[in-house]
Amino acid sequence: MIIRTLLITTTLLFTGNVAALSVKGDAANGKKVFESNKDTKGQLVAACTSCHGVGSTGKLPDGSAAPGENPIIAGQYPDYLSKALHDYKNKKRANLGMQGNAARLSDKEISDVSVYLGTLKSKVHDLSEHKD
Amino acid sequence: MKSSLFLLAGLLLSANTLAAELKGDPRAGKTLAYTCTGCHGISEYKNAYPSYRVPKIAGQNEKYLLAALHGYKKGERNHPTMKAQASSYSDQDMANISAHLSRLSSKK
Repeated sequence: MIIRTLLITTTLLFTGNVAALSVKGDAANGKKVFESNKDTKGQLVAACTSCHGVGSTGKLPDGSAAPGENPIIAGQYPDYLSKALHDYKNKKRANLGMQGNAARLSDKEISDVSVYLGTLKSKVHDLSEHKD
Repeated sequence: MKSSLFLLAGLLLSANTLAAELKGDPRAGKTLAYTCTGCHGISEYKNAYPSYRVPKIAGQNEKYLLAALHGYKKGERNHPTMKAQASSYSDQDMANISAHLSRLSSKK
């Protein structure tokens, strides 16, 4: 009984990990979500691009530079982005603006937008090249 | 009433100026950032639980990195390891680390 429960728990944990790591989503729809200035009800909202820039350009839709207070999210790991958005949505991470933005996104939209951003290339990278 | 508004505005302004005046030294930041490579320096490295890859932080915006570190220190973000790291840094240390990391460019 105990062994069986342990096995099931281990399997569940394992699948949980795999599921979280490989965020599955529709990148094409994610791009739409990222660029849209309307929510699912058709209400006007601030598009992600209006703070984070269009794609990996680092430029806002009006051509000005995206403010440095906001992170570069193009080229970031999708599973990290998904975690961040869920944390905002569940109010586990402080930032009123992002809490509101994430709350408007469905779980599918969070996956889609995270996958889309992960397909882009930007200047953010890991520190493996800078260890010396 | 009016004077308290002025006072408030003055306080806000000086707080902003203080934050802006703390200039990060990338060279000092490089030494401090050695610790960061333990997790952020391994490609695809996973956080144990919940499982997700630890974010890429090299080349990230300086002001955002600084805000993230302060966020961990203040408990606005709760990752135990990052909270411990950030709590051990002074404001100047965090400015230095952010200055260093944001200036890194990838050769790939």
